[in-house]
Amino acid sequence: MPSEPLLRVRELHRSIGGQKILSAINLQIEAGKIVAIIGPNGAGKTTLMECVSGLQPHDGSVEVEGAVVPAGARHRFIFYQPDQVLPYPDHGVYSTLLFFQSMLCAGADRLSEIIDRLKLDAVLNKAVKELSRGYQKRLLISIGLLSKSPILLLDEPFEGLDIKQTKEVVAILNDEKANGRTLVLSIHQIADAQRIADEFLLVSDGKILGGGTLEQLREKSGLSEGSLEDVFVALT
Amino acid sequence: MSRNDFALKKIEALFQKELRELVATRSFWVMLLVLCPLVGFSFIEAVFLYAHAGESIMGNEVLLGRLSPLDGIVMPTFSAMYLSEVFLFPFVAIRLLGVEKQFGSIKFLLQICPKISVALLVKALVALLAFVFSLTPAICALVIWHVMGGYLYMPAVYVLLLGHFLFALLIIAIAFFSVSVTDSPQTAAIVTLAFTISSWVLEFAGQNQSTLNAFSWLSMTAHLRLFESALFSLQTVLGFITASVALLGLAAIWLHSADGANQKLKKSSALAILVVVATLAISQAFYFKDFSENRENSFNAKNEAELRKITLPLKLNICLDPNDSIAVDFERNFLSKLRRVLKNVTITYTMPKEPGKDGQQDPNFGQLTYDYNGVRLQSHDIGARRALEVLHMMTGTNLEGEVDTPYPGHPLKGDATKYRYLFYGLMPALILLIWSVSLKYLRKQRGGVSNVST
Repeated sequence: MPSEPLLRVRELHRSIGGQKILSAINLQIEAGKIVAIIGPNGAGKTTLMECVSGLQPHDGSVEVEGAVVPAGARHRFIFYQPDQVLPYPDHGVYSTLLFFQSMLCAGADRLSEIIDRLKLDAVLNKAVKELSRGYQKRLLISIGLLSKSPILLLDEPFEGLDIKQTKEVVAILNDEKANGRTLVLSIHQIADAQRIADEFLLVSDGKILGGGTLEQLREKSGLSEGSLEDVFVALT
Repeated sequence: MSRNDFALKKIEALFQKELRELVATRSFWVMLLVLCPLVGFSFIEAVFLYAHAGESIMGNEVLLGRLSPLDGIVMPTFSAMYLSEVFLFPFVAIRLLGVEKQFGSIKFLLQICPKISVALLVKALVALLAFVFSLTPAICALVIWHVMGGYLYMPAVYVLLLGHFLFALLIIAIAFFSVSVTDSPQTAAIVTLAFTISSWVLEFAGQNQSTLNAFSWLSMTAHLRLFESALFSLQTVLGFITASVALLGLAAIWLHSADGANQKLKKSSALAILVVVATLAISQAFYFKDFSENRENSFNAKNEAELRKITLPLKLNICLDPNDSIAVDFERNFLSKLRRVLKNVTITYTMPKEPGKDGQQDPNFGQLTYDYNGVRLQSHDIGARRALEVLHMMTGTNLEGEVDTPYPGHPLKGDATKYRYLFYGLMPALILLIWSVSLKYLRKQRGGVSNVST
C-alpha cells in the first residue's frame, strides 16, 4: 500500500466578496521535497499558502500524512512565513528573535546557528524598522527556520535579496531539506524557483495549471527542451 | 521541561514582548506627560475652591457637614483621570494590539500563540499596568493633600480607584474589540472613541428625560459615577467584568482569521447569548455598600436594617415630571437609597395633566402613592423624612425619620499652588527622563547580544 503524501490539499476553494480567489485546488507534496509555487503576482500564491496554513477561511480539506487537520491545529505541522511583514518594528532584532525562539520552543544553539548562517550578527543591535529590505527578509526567514514544524511555507523567500544572498539562502534551505524538512516556497521569479525546487506548482488566476518535476511539466507542455519559463508560458 | 513549563515560558515571553511594546509606544508617554499638568491643574483648583468654600461656611455646622474631601478634592482630581481614560488611554491600548495588524505580525502571532485569547489577556494585563502607572500624578496629588493636612477617608478612595480600574479594563476591551473588527489603528481609534464619547452622551441623557434616557443604563460613565461617590455595587462590578470579558471574547473571535464571516457571526451570537444569561444572573446580585464617610448614598444604618425586613412588593408612584426639581431631590435623597436597600420595589412616575384653560392644576400633581400588602396610601408630602414615616406606618417596621448622621466635615484652609512646579515641571521632566532611560534600556538590550549569539 503506497504511503500517504506528507501534505495533501483537496478541493480547496477561497472566495472573497463573491470573487473566486482560489478554485478547486488539489495538490500533494511528498516529504523531504522543496516545492516551488510559481505564478505571476496576483495569481493566488499567498492566499493558497495562508489557506493551507490555516490563516484564511476556505472550503476543502488539508491533510497531513493522510489525516485531515482542521485549521486551528495546523500550526502543529505547518509554519508559514509571510512576506511583507515587519514583526515588531520598534523592537530590537535580537529581542525579536529571542521572543520567537521562546514562543517556538527552539534551543539557544539553534538560534545561534540561524543568526550565524543568515549573517544577522551585524544587525542584532538594530531596531527591526531600521533594517534594509534584505535584512528584513533574512529576519523573516530566520523566524521560519526557528519553528520546528515539519512543513515550512515560505512566501517569496528571495524577494529583496541580492544574488549572493539568494545563493546563501538556497544553501540554507537545501540543508533544511537534507534534515528532513519539507519546504513549500512561493516564488514569482522563475529563475529563483529553478535554482532550488525539486518540483513545481504552476498557479495562475487561482488555479493550478500543472505540477511536478521540470521533466514532467515539459512532457505536459510538449516542450521537451524548454526551460521552466517556456513551460510556464506554454501552460498559461 | 514539562508542558506547563513551556506554556509558562511562552506567557513570560509574550509578557516581556508586550512590556517592550508599551515602552516603545509614544502614546503611552504622551498620555503621562499630558496627565501631569491636567491632574495638577484639577487638584490645585480643587484645593483652592475647597479652602474657599470652607472659609465661607465656617461656623455653619450643617454646611460644614457637607464639606467632604471625596467630593471636593478626590473627585475633581480624578476627573482629569477620567478625561485621560476616555481620550488618551484608548490609543495606548489600541497600539498594543493594533501594531500586530498594522505590520502583519498577527500572522505570526496566530501561529505561535494559537489560543489568541491568551495573547489578548497578556496584552490586556500590560495595558492595565500602563493604566496603573498613569495613576501616579493623581496618587501624588492625594499624597500632597495628605501632607498639607487634608483628610482622606481611604475606604472611599479605594472604591473610587476600583471604579477607575474597572473602567480602564472596559476601555481596553473596547479598544481590542475595535482593533479586531477594523483594518487600521486609525479606524479602531474612531470606533473606540465613538464608544467612550457616546457613553458620555448617554450619561447626560440619563440626567434628562430625552428619548435616549431608556439607554442611559448602558453608559459606562454613569456606572463609574457610583464608584466616585464611594458606592460599591456588586452588580456594577460584575457588569464591568462581564462586558470586558465579552468584548475580549469578541476580539478573539474576530481576530481568528481561519473562520469566515458567517462562522464569526455564529460564534459572536453564541457569546451574546451567554452574555444575556450572565446579565440575568448578575441582576440577581443585589449587594450595595456605601463606603462614603458621611453615608451620603444611604439611609442611616438602623433604618437600612429595618427596611431590609420588608419582603413583600412595594410600589411607589409619583405624579411628577421626573425632571421637576422636587422629583430630582426626592430621587436623590430617598428613592435611589430605597432602590439599593429594597429588591422588591417598583417606582413609577406619572406625568401630571397640563393645567386646564382655567389654570386649574392637576389635583394629583405632586401626589405620592404607596402600595404595600393590599393597602394604598396617598400623600402630597414628598420628602425623605415623611416617606420613611409612611413606610413605617404601612410596613410595621421600626423606621424613624431620616436622621442626619453627624458628620463633622473636613474643611482645610490650604493652598496647593506651590506644588504647581511639581505637576507642571518636575513630574513631566521625570517622565521624560524615565522615557529616555527606558528607550536606552531597550537599545542596550539590543546592544548586549553580540557575544550571546555564539
